[in-house]
Amino acid sequence: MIDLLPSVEQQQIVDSVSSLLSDAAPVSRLRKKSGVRDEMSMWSSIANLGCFGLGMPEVVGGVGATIAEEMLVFREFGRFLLSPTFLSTTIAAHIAGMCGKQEIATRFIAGDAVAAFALPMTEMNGDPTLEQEFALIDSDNADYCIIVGAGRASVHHVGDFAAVCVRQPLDDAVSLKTASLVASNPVAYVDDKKGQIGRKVLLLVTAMMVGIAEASRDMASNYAKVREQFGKPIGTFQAIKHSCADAAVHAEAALCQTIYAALRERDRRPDAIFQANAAYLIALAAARRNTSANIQIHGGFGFTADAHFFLKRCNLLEQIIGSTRLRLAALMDEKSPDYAG
Amino acid sequence: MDWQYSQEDQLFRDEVRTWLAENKPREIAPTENGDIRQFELAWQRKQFDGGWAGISWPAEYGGRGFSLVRQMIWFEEYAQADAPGLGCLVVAINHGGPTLIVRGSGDQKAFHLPRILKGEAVWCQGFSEPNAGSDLAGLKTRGEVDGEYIVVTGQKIWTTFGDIADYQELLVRTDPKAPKHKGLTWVICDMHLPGIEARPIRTMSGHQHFSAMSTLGFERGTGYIAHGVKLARSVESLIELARTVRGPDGKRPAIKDDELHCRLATARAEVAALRSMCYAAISRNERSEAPGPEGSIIALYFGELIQRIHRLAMDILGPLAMTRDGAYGIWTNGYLENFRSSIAGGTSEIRRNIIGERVLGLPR
Repeated sequence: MIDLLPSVEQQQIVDSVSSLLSDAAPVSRLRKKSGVRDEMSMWSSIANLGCFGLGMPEVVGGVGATIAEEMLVFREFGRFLLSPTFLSTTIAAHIAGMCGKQEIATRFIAGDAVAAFALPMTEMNGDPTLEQEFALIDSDNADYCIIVGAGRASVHHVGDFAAVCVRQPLDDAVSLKTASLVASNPVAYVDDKKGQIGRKVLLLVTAMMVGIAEASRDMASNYAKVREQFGKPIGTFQAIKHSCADAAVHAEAALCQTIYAALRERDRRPDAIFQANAAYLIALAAARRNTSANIQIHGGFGFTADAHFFLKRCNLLEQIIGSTRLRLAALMDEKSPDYAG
Repeated sequence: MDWQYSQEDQLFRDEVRTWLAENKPREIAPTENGDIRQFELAWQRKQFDGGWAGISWPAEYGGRGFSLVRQMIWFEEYAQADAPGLGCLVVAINHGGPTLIVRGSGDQKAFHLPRILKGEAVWCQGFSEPNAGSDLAGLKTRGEVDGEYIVVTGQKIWTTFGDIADYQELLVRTDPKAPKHKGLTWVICDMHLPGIEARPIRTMSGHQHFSAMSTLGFERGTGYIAHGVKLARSVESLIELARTVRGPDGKRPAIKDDELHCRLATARAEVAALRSMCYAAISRNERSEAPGPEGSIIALYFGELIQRIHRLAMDILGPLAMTRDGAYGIWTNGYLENFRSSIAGGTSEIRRNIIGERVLGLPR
């Protein structure tokens, strides 16, 4: 089959997630501070939909779907600015599953355990060293933290991090702490030289950026239809209209390339690495551009009201992937893909 | 979501690849007008004899009526084989012919369609006028019905291949009292008639052709497949070029320069995205009868991307970019030539209007 659009079954998954989130997770909820907001109230509903184990086998409580379906769901998570903790918990389930810690994997999938991202503040060369400093992303309710990178991936008890310091986050819709890793016995560990976990993180962050780029496009163009200045909707002015059109172009490029990359990854094609890196770069450019344009099109309201949440989240997600220069280099290291296959 | 070619499609691809390898013209395409015509008509005839003419035309009009996927495979292989573009046949095959198929009379179809497919007629497009470009409906050329004739008075411009065409698809105003967008008539004009004066215009790249992009079918996503494949090949050869020419520091190859390296990687990513957008458009159109306005997104993206890539080529070439002759002329000429890519067939500004209004639903 040659078809880049979601099937009926895939669309059902997307619809069930988006209908839940449009009720439970309007972006306006983020006006409350993260401590006051109860993001965790959605946790069990998301778990009940099977999102945490979507790409995991059924024997450990997963759904048995693929990276393609995971990508579609995380696009919705990006659109509604769900905490990156939803991603880190999904990845934690995969890490635990891959190294045979099925009991732990099942807890993540069931929504009974939460894993946050621990992002290294300095580059890792292999396993993290003791006392190395990490940024813990939205870890207030986390039981575990995951560390992914340098060809390995691991799940740690949150208690293995010490000297915890609460920081003021750039993305104020999440909490941010810095901490040092003081124990070197992860509860789950996989060698990731082949990049299976790394690419899953890359593709799902990319999917969230696609959602952010699309949501920013929609928010900007919907506003341009109703906001009136000089006696008419600002969307009639080409300066605004063309900016919205560029948002549509960026979002379309990002979405299409991300879908294609997910299919190449699912089918284990030789160009999977090429396509995933290309998708990330295109989605990053789209998310950066559209979140900024959304603020600009909202004018004074953009500087003060909800549009900025998307921009801040884009900046946070970038740090999960790390330096863009490395993605560009990775893309250049690959052979040009053969499309005939 | 799935991207797996069926065995039949794979066999089809092999067949196309083999035929193109054995039959595509070996000689270098000529550059003089008369020779271009002869060369391109001969290649069209060869495709017709091989059963490959009109791949997107319905079978009842002599075409092959291939599915969108097969059209896509044909265009991919065509571009990969570096077969010559449609050239002076672009209007006949991509616009004049399809217009006749939808709206022509039985006689018109019976006369013109076989001639187009067999490579016996060149068409040009008489749409734009000196004062009617983006605002096409502002055209003033009059067509007055006088018995069996239409007397046409006016001036057209950017009529690519007007000097070597046999027919012109000509837009004229036949009802001056009707509103701007009404009262226009599409007529077939015999270019050999007396009273037609064709004056060549030189473009900024020095050519006489300001070709309407061969983009009919862009609404269905197939139109840009060949462009995408060609552009991907261009980027790969640009990477090769950057390995051989000296970079800005005068010592290492250009590809060792951080900035050029990053821009090449970005170009690779953007060309990949262009291809995926075409795939998505094809997927969408497999499900719906009428193509949506999303095709304008691909057209806009392509037009600006090919310009960025040629700007990058100029920066990689450095002082070598001063010349148009020699080995690097393909890049410097392409740099100049592709300024048309955001103008011909609809400016980027008009495309943004279309995207804003018809895709996003913004007010006019």
